[in-house]
Amino acid sequence: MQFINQIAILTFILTTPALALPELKTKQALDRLLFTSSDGKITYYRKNSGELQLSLNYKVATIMKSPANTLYQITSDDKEKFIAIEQIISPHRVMNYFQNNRIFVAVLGKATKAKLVGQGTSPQIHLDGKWMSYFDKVKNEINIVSLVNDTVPPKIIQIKNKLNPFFIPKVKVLTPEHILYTDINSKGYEALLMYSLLDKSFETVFKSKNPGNKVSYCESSGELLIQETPIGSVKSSSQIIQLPLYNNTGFKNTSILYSTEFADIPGIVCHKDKVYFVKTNQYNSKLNLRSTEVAELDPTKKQVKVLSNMKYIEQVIPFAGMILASAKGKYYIVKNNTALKSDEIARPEKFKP
Amino acid sequence: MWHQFYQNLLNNILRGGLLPLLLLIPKVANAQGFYQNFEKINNLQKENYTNLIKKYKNTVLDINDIKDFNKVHIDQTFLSILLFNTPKQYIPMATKDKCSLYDLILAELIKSPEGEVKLLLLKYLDQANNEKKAVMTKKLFVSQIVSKVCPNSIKLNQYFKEPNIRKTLSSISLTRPKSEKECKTTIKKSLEDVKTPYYCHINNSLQALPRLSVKYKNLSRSKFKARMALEKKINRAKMYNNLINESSKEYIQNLCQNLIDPEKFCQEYFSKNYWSREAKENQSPVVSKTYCPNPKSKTKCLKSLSQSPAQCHFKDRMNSSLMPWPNCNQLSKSLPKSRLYKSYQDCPAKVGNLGVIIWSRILNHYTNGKYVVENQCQTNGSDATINFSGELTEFETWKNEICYDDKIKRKYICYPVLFNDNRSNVDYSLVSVIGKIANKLKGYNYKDKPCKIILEEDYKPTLLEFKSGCFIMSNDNECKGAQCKFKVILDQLQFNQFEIKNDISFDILPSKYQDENKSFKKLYEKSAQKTFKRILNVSSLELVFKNHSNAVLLGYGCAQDLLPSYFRRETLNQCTPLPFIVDGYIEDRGLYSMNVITAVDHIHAPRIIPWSYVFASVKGYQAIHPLNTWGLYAIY
Repeated sequence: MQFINQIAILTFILTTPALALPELKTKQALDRLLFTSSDGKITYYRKNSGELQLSLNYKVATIMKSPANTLYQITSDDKEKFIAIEQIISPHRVMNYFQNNRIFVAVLGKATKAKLVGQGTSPQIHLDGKWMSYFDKVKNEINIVSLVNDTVPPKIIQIKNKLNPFFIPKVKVLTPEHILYTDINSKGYEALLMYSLLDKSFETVFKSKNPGNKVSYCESSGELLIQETPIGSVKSSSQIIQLPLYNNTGFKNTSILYSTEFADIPGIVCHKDKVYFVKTNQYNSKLNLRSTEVAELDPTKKQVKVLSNMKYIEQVIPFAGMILASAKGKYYIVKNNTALKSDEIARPEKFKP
Repeated sequence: MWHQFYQNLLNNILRGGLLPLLLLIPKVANAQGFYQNFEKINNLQKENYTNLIKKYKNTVLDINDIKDFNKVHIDQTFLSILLFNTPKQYIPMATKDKCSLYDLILAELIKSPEGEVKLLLLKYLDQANNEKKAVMTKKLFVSQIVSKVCPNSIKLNQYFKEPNIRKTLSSISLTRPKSEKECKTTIKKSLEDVKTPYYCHINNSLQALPRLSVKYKNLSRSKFKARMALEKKINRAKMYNNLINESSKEYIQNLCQNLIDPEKFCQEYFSKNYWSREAKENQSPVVSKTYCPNPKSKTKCLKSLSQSPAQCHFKDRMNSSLMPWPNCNQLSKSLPKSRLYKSYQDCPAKVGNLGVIIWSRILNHYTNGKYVVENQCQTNGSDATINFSGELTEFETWKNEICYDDKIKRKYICYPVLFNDNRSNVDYSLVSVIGKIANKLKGYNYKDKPCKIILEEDYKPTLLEFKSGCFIMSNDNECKGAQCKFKVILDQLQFNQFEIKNDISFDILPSKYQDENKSFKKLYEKSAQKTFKRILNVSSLELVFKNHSNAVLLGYGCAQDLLPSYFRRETLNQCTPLPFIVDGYIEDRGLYSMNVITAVDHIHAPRIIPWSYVFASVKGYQAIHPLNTWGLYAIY
């Protein structure tokens, strides 16, 4: 039952039309699954009793015990050494949006107790597990905490956003002194900023063209891929630009990789030299209904390839070394990390037609 | 003869619905069931089409054999199959005369069961006066027959082809009608206008562009011929896209979709323009005030919203809701459909608790604003819920309290409190509770001089007004209606002999079987005699909205599915529970979108959200719910 050490992907390629993505299927209840390592050997999942469990080599260990129905969010660093855990207690009864959650860190795959780091939301681990960032929703500030030296006081960046109380910045620690994060100014322009802790100065890396446009980004081999897309009005254009992170004075050296007449759904994922995002192909203004598909952008060729024909793709997320797309309450595999295989048990000879 | 035939056919199709089709294809007349019949009709007409083509495919039509070109007709059975496959809004244009039908064929609006019309079955008289039938390609038919019978149709067709199309389109003005009267005349004239089929052809090309682009990208390079054909269509659509401006595109889209429905066509421009109507009639003054607060320029301001739709993105002066709001055009569609009681202001971020906000909105709706206090947005967002909690659970579900140690009674006493509430006449308001405790412990006369809530930075002890009295000071960020940290200054001295407890915890939908009766849903069902009907599909939703004029839907979903543009999913199964209200819906050609006000949205800024998003979000929430509850209920 819970002795799952790798997710098994059952695909139905033969029964699905071209470009229909295979649905993610797991041996374990998919809705309990929280994190799986890229090699598929380490799995974290939650139980309704409130426990966070680790499954590895056919063994199960409890990492955390919390009140019943606690939810968890788990993310890892790029090299998969550590995991950041956000513990969301009683999400159905206590709907206080501005209550911070407890943030923990643990070594990936180790059955040891997770260590409490602070209180906030959206934890991320950076620089091979040396630093962690999280956002304090009450104080509206980004906390950068050293995971290797407890005596180093947390570095704090107060964000300027006053317009959208439900905004959560996206943070990336580039070096212990340089932090990238998104913020919104008083006129509604979202920007990607670089904060230098050495001289406590800000530099604008990218600023949106219009107020209300969403800025998303990811990093790939020293290049920043930045998506700007309007979220209040679909009939406005979106674009993805490329910007070298280093040797780029004033971040003026940029190139447009892709632009479109419709608003794509915000969010991009960099994965193996490609960029994945949700592209809007068609828009029905009466219903505010867009036809959306997963698209793959090749930054070197500046080519966009549509990878699905499912019409209502909502988000793309990285998971277990794969790229998944969510649509209508299900997850689909966009890019797999291994060859697709079926683990269907072969039908006995006598039952074969 | 032609005219009469088409007129009859049109009457049959439009008035008789499926009956004439059943008669056209008598084999199905005895079939059982409506859908079964329709499917059979569909299959049979395809079969008939194939058989007709097969039968006459090898009969070559010799042009020299035609006695009279005016007596060449499309075979009636064949034509009825074509009209059956053609979108119904184009049929009236095809029935005026022979040439009008040919215009539609030239504009590619007439369809065959295979899609595009490539072959036609013709009936004609040969030189010996014998009636004959033969198949002809569309291309030949146009060049050999149409050019002789309807030369003007060919001329018109040329106007909409390269290199003339640029000039043609630049000389045509496709502007929205200025009045309702003009609007209805416009659509009547459009049905008579020979250019209309070509506008619809352009519209069809533009609509198909994204689909064709995807198809092209995924078509194998080895299918050279198919790729060439697609490329031609794509380039043509791109050319139209560049030649026509946005408002003309919208105009022809509306025109071609509603050619036979003038009401719907005009609704686009007039009935739906909420802002102009509000400027004229002022039916929802509270909502209008949110968008145009200055009474002096209100009319002008409201009218301007439809001109520049981006104005509505940042209309929340309190900065207490999810922003940006939808644009004014979207709001102009959603606000007239919104039936939730909303003659008040509330401020989700200043209340903080999403359950409190949504439940207060539900209670305010069904009591017509019983708990609404003018100009108190935080109180409006919470008062109904604290009252409900007090009346039905004796504040057991409202554990926001201020407690103190009563040394005389030797008791630890707690009072339920509504933070940030400055009403001195309400027992549980923050000013009353602090006043009561200050009275017990310090003898402060709070009834004569009630406490005041101020921002920390506004407290200036050197000023005379702060020399005496009770001041509750908070930091704006740290004090929400449902959770608060504050300091109290009593006659210039800090007063801190109390403890603040923030613990609001309740179920709107039950999360434990044993506590089901304590959920707000159950309590409300019993106390207010309300029905909670589970909504699983749009049919039941439509039925509820039709049968119960005041019904709204309460939903629980994942923010990442409901509003994917605002809430990014970073990890698998990430679901931020977000309660919402559905208070209307929009239907368009069998597809549905909901009028949604989530707990993080301003009550005056409903969003139009496709049903598929609503469904996915409720399904996602069901997966994390302890009782696996489908959280979408109609309340009436």
